[in-house]
Amino acid sequence: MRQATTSPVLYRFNIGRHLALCFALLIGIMVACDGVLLWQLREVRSQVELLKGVDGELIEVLRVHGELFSFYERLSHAARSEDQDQLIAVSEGLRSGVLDETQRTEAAFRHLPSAVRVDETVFPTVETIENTLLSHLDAIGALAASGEWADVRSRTDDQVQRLEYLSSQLVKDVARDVEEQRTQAALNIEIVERRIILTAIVTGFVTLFTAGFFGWATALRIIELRGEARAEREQAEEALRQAQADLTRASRVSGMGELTASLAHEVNQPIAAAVMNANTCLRWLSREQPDLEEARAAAARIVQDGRRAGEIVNRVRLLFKKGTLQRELVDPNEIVREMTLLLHSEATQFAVFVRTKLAADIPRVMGDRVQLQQVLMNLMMNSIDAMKDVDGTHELMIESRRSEDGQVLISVSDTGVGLPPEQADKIFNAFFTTKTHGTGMGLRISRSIVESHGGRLWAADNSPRGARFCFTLPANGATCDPVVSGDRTEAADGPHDNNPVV
Amino acid sequence: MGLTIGICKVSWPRSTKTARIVCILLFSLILHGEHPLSKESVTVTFVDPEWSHDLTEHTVVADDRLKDFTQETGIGVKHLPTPETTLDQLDLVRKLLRQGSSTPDVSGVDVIWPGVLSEELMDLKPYLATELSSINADVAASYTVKGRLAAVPYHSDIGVLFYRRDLLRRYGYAAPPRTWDELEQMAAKIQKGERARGQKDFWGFLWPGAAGEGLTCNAQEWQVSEGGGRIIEADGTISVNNPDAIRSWQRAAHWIGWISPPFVTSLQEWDAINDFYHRGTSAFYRGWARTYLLSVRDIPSVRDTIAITNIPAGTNAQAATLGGFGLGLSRSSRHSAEAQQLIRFLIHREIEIEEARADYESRNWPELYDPTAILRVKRSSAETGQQPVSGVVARPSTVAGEKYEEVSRAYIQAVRSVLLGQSRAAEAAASLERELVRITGFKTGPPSRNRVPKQKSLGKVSGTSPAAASTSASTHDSLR
Repeated sequence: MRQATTSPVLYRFNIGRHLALCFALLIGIMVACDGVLLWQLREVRSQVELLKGVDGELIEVLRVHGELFSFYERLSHAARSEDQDQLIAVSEGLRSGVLDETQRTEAAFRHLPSAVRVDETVFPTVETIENTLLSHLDAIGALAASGEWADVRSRTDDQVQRLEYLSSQLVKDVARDVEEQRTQAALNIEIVERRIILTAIVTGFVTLFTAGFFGWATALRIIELRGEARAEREQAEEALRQAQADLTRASRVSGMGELTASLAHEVNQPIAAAVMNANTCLRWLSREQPDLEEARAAAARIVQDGRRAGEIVNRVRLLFKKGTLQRELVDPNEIVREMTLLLHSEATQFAVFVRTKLAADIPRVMGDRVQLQQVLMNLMMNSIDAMKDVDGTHELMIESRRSEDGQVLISVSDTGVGLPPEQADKIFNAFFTTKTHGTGMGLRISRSIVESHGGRLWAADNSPRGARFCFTLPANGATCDPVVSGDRTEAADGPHDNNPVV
Repeated sequence: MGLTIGICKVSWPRSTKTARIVCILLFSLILHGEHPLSKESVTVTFVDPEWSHDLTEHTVVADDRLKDFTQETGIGVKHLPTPETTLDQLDLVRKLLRQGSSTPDVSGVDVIWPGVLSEELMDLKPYLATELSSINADVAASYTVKGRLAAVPYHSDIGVLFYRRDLLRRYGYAAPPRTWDELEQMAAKIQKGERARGQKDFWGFLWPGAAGEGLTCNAQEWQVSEGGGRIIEADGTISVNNPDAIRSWQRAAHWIGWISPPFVTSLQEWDAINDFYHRGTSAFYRGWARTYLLSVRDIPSVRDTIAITNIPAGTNAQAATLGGFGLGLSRSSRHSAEAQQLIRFLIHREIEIEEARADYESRNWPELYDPTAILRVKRSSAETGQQPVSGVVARPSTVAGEKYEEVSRAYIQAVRSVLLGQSRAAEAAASLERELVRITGFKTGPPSRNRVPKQKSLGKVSGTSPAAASTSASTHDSLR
C-alpha cells in the first residue's frame, strides 16, 4: 500500500524487537529518574536533620559556655567579697547548677542525630569542664574555709578562667565544625538541587519526546490505517458489486433460457391468432360478395395480434438487454400485470392458478422498471417452483396495496412447501438454497434491489400453507435513495431462485 | 532523550554508540557530586595530664612533639582537657573508657591507676617490645597488671623538695636540708627572719595538704623515711598501724601552725605551687621534679631563685614517691593503629631527649638536675641489677590493684584527720588499718623496714648510675 512511500521510521514503527527495546529503555530511564528523585528527597531530609543536629550541638556548647561565664562571674564576685558564708552559699548553688548542667549536656548530646559528625572531643571536653568545676568548687570551698582568700582568688582567676578559655576554645572549635558541616550540607543540598533539576529536565524531556513522537507516529499510523481500511472496503464493495451484477445477469440469462419454451408458446399464440385472422380475412375477401367490413375487422385483429407478438418479443429482448439503470415513475400494478402475463404459460404448465388482487389507489413508485420486474418474476418463479411437487391446489396470489405507513406493499403468496423451519432469515443470505438446482442468489439479489429502492423485502408463512413474500416500495419514490449506481441488471430473474423446498 | 536514542537505534543502528555515550553522560551528570567529601585524616585524641593542667601555666612541652608527629605521619592529635587532680582525672578517663567512648584513644594513666583501668586498656607489651628494653623495668612493672602492660611509662616523676636558693643563702645555709630535722630548723629560722623583715604571712614549709593524692605521696614519704612502712607492703601486708608511721604523722601535724600555714590542709598541689612560685611567701615546698624541670625551662626567674633537692630523710631512710604517668591505649579506640604510632613516637622521642639531657644538659645546666633520671636507667648492669632503685618509693597501687583508689582515699582521710586535729594519730592509724582490711581483705603486720635501707649519704640516691650520682652532686655544688 502506501507505507512504502512514508518515512522508514514509520515503516518500522510496527511493534518489533527494536521498538520493544526502545520501550524497555524508556521505562528504565523513567524508573531510574524516579529512583534518583526519591534518593534526593532522602538526601535532603538527612541534610535537614544534620543541620538541625549541628545547630543543637552549637547551641548546647554555647549554653555551656554561657553558664560557665555566669558561673565564673558569680564565683569571682563571691571570692572578692571575702565573705565565707556568701561563698559557701554561692558555691552550693553553683554545685547543683553544674550537676544539672552536666545532666542536660549529657542528654542533649545523647539525642543528637547520628548523622551529625560531632567532634569526638566535644562531649568529653564539656564533661571535663563540668567535672573540673566541681573540683574547683571543692578546692575553693576548702581554701575559703581556711580563710586563704588570696588562694581563692588566684584559683578563681586562673583556674576557673582557664576553663572559660577552654570552653570558648570549644565554642570556636564547634562553631568551626558546625560551619564546615553547614557548608557541606549547603553544598550537598546544592548538588541535590542540581540533580533534581536535571532529573526533572530529563524526565520532562523524555516524557515530552515520548508523547510527541508516539503521538505523531500513532496519528500518522491511524490515518494511514484508516485509508487502508477504506481502500480495502471500497475494493471489496467493488468486487462484490461486480460479482453480484455478473451473477444477476448470469442467472437472468440462464433463467431466460428456461423461459424460452414458454415464451415460444407465448409468442406462438398471437401468431396463431394472426394466422387464423388472416385466414378469416382471406375467407371474407374470397367470397363472391367480399365482405369488406369483416375483412377489415379481421385485418385489424391481425395487426393487433402482430403487435402483441411484437410486444412479447420486445419485452424478452429488453430483459436481455444490458443497459444503465433508468429511474422513472412506475405503476406497480402494471408490473404485476406484465409479469403475470409473461409467466402465464409457465404457470399453466404446472397447473398453477394465478390470481391478482390489485388495489386501484396504488401510487406510482420511482424505480427501475426492469429491476422491479425482475424482483417480481423472481418471487413468482420461486412460488411456482415451490408448488410444482405439492399436491392440492396450486394457487399463486399477487396482491398490491398501500401499507399503513403509505408505502406500496406487494405480496406474493403461494400454497407451496413453505419456508424451511428455523431458517426463515437465512434464505436471504447469499448462496443459501434448498433447491437442487438453485444458485442461492435470487432472493439475495431481490432483497438488495428492493433495498436499493428504499424498500424492504421479507418472508412469512402463508396460511394455511405455503409462503408469503412481501416487499414495500416508497410511494412516488419519495424516499428512494440512489445507493445502487453501477447495477446494469435489467432483466427478470430466472427460475433458479432459492425458494424453500422441503 | 532516551526515546531519541531508542528510535535512533531503530532507524540508524550506527548511532547506538552515540546513544550509549549520551545516556552515560546524562546519568553521570545527574549523579555527579556523589562523593564530594575528601578523605579525612585520622585524628587521635589524647588525654595528657600535663597538657591542660600545667601547674606552671606555661607552654606545654608535649605540643611541639605532637606537631612533629603530625608532620611525620599525617595523623592529627587532639587534646582532651583533663581535670586538675589525679583522682578527678581517673574519674573522667574511667568514665569515658567504661562508656566505650571512642575518645580518648591515648590516655595518660597515672602510675597508680593501671590496676583500676587495666580492663579498659589494651595490653601494649606485644607492640612495644623494643621500646620496653630501654625503660626501667621497675617502673614498667608498676604499669603491669596481671602480666599485661596497661600503659607504657612515659613521664616518670619523683617527689622533690623545692627550696628558695636566695633565702638559704641569706640565712647562711650552704646546702639544702638533708633530714626532716634540718628542714624544720631551716624553715623555722627563715620564717622567723622573714617575718622580722616584714613579711607577716611568711611560712617556712609549704606542702599540699588538701584531700588529694598529693597528700598520700607526702604522708607516705614521711612515714617511709621514719621506717613506718608503705601502708600496704608489696607482699600484701597492711602495715600502716605502726609507731613509726604514727610518729611521722604527728610530726607533720606539729608543722601546721609552726612552720606550715594552717591553711596548708586546704592546698591542692596547684594552690601550693602557685603560692610558692608567685607569692614567694615560703622557703620550702614539697613538689614534683617534672614541675620544676618544666618551669625552669619556661620561667627564667625560677632558675635564679628556686632549686630542688631530694626529699629529706627521716631516721630510717630517704624516700621520694614515684609519680608520673604512662600512656595507655583504649580498648574502644577506633584508631588503635594510629594511637600505637603516637605512643611509639612519644616514647622514642622521650628516650632520645632524656639521653641527650643526661649526657649534656645536666652538666652545663646544673639547675637542670633531674632526679627522675635515675628512673630511666635500665636495670641491666650487674651491680644494680638485683635491687630496685633505692630511695624511690612506689605507692601500694600495684598490690592494691583496682582497690587502690579506695585505699588512697581512706589513707588521705585518716592522715587529714590527724593533721586537722580531729583525731589522735594512734586512733586514726588503728581505724585506717581496719578500713584497709575491710577494703582489701589483706592481713595486717609490721612494716618491712629492710626494704628501704637507711641512707648513709643523704642527698644521694644509692645504687644509681654514675650519671645520676654526678647530677646529684652537681646540684649541691651549685649551692656554694
